Amino acid sequence: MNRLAENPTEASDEMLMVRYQRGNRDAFATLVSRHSACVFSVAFYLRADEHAAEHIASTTFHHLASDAATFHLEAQFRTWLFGKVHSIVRNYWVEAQPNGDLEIDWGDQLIRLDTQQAELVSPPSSRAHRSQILLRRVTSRVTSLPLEMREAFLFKQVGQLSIVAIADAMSLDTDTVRQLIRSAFDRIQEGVMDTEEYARALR
Amino acid sequence: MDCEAFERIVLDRLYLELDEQSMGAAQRHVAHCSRCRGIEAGLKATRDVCRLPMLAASDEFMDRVISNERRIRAVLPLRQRTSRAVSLLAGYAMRPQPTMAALLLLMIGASLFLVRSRPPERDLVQVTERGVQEGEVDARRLKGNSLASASSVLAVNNESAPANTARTDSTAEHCNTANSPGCASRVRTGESIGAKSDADPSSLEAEFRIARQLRFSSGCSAAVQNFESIRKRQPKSDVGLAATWQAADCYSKLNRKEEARALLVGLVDSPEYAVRATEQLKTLSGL
Repeated sequence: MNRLAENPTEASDEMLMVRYQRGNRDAFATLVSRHSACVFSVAFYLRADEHAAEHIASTTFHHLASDAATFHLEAQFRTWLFGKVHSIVRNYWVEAQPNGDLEIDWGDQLIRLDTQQAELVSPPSSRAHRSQILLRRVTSRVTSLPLEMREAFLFKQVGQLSIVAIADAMSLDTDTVRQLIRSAFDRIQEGVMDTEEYARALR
Repeated sequence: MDCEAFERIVLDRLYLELDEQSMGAAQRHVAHCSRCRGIEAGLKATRDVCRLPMLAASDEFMDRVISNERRIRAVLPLRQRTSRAVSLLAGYAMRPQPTMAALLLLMIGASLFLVRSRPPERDLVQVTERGVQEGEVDARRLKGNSLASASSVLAVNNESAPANTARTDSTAEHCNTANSPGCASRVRTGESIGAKSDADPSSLEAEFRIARQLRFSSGCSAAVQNFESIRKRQPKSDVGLAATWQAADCYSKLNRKEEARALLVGLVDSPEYAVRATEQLKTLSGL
């Protein structure tokens, strides 16, 4: 407990948030470095646009700083954080359209992802090429999902939130969240079930 | 568990969010239902294929977020700054160290008020065993042990009081000033009490009280001489009149009516005892 209290990198998110409420800026920096990748990834897969994703992520942390006083220790920090992502995405969605072009470091492969033009930058029949095709299929399936379904799916698959936490963050009941995620799975499954990776995963 | 129930919880099972009991029930259902087994396998494969890689924001992202945060903190309203300061102070106050320090201070403060130091030896109060209280002590002693002998001692001392006056006065004076260890015992004995001056009213009062104690404990026969002794020494004083009344009462109780009557006649002139004495005289006369 004392070790957790002394070392900000090992303290829980909730404790860091309380410390930030007390004016500890290092706690805020730790929280940002701990969750920025996750928030940015969810935002990117939601919009398939790097600039939009950065905007969503930076706005999320902006809200985290300005609304810090409203956070309670009893609350789950990640649920609270993704609740902010949810409200920002809802507000931001009207203003911009999906547009993405990003290089993704996937394992030891560098994959260039362009959801609009579906440009392949790796040589055909290589492992990177197959991965790129699969990722493109998945991302195109994800970006074609209705917004609410996409959000629920990404909060689960990328944000690693529990179903209850997603329901809290999106202000829905858990059965609705289950239905949304299940529908997202079914739609994505249709797009990837003919791939070698899927067949291998089935085995 | 049926297929419908399984489909409701299949996602929870996929992400290991089920409790142990439901997980077991689902496992048993999957073991004999090929349809649900297929659904679960498809979902698992999709989940594994859809593992989207985590992306990193640009290098400037972190700096931008931190500078944003500084800007927000710089323009925080006064109320929010106050609440943040209160929160900071409360955070320190809730730690165990300040609580322990406060308790320690409280204990020290309380001990200053409640636990008083003993006075030094030179400030000891010196008490001379003399006067009314001494008589009461003697009465208790006499009551317990040898009341009869004590009364005889008193009687003897009273009879020889004039002879002893000078000596006992000097003893009493000595005891008052020197407070020597032997003084207490000497004053406590019948010698010292009897040796008191007749002019000392407190000494007579003490004798009177002892005499009354004797009367109550041993009866009139033991006490009447003491009352007589006091009466003879100061017949007109308050103590002397009280002793006369007690002596008369004792004589009447002892059926020595003539002596009682003689004393009561002497009390008729006293305004305090006139009524009682007259009534007692009537009683003795059998009226």
